[in-house]
Amino acid sequence: MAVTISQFTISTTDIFGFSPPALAGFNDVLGTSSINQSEKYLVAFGGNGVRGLYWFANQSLIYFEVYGLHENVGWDYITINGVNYNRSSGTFSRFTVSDNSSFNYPTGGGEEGGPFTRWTWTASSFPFASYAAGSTQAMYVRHSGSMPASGPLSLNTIHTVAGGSSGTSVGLNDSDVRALNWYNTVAGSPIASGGKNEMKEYYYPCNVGENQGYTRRRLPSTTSNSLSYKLASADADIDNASTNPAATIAKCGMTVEFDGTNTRLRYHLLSTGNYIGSGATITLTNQYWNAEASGTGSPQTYSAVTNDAITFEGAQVIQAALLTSQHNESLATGQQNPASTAAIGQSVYNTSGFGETLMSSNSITSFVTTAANTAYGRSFQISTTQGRFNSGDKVSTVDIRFRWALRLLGYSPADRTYIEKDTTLNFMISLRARTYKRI
Amino acid sequence: MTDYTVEDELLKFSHEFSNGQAGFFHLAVDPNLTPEQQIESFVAQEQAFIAQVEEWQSQ
Repeated sequence: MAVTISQFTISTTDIFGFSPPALAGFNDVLGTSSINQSEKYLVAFGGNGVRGLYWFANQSLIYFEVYGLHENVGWDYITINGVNYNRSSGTFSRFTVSDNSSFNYPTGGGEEGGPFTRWTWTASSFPFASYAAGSTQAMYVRHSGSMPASGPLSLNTIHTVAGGSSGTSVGLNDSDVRALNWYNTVAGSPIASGGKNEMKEYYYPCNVGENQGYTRRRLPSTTSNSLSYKLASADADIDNASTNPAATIAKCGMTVEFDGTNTRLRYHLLSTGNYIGSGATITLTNQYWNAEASGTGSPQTYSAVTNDAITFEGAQVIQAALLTSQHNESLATGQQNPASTAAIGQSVYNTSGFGETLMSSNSITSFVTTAANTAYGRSFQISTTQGRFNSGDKVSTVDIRFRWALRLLGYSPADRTYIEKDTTLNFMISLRARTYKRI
Repeated sequence: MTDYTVEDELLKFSHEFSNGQAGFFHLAVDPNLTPEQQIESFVAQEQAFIAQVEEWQSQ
């Protein structure tokens, strides 16, 4: 029994206007006028955006591309115009493209960019129904599994899916049964005879995105540093201080932690300010944005240091990787006073700032095995400190991009086993620390 | 020939195309080809794609 994971409709005309078509279908990063707004947000599986589904006549190939770096799992076949193209027979490749993404990335064209995964199949003739102007067609990403996704699941059901006869003798440790376990079919790490083996690991695997409580704004691109898409900001500001010392610190971090029930991807913000004397105004502003949409309007101001960015309900993070980078860094210039070599503007990056276990490898592909009830992540801090003999308006700013890769497994027996092994998520947090001192 | 490694049953290598686009690539290993042949084939195919698309976009 096939299960449709996602269905989406694409244009099937030529991207460059040729007839008969030379390059037909949907591509988020080619051409400048072929992409309609809705196509930009097609979802393939697990909440991952479609980068392209197109046919290239010159090479007689169908290309199916999905944003993010994925394992060769997550779906079984894609149906195009009544023909099934099996994932297992497609050519699988992944692309960690540099900086601003793909070749021919058009100005004002594709919005996402960044790393992606591709499958290709041979197709010598036009695979869609029509290339007449304005033609569109529905595409289906499907799974051929026949296990239930939730509810009752009997050993007899597993046995029959494995090819056994209903009502005959079967054990959970039988090799044909174990072959259908999540660790065999999804994780690619088969369990040995007598190994840990639970019924929950046999449910039809759902995709992470199906049960993902999205709450905060994500950066849509792995390459964009646009602050229009920032998740949060911490701003520490001392205004109109006297000639005495004054200091501000803005600090942020992100962590991932499995709390025994859910996996929480969290961000932490802390802004502090201090001065000696009187008459100054300290303003500490921590903000976050809820909506996915871009823009800087309507941020929420809050005081809690720790907040959830995303909660993966009923899922356990078993491995995590984190790539961070600093952008638009501008540290206040000068030294704290003539007798000191300490800079007014300072930064402390890649630290454990909120009690987390530091993920020391700054890599999107170097995974850390995560234990329950332990937060893993990385923190960043900037500061602006003016001494007794300093004066003027001094500002330090930096934007920190967090890029996560998470491997998740369904945890509760009532939940399904998650099929997406590597889900990638991008966030941007900005920091600002300012001290203004009068002479 | 581009340096490569085989990890997790994937060919991993980096390459810079003639249009300046560089990236790291991960390909499923084709048992019918040597790694060098597969990389060469992939790079040639991708380069042809880039060249063709650039030509169309310039028209």
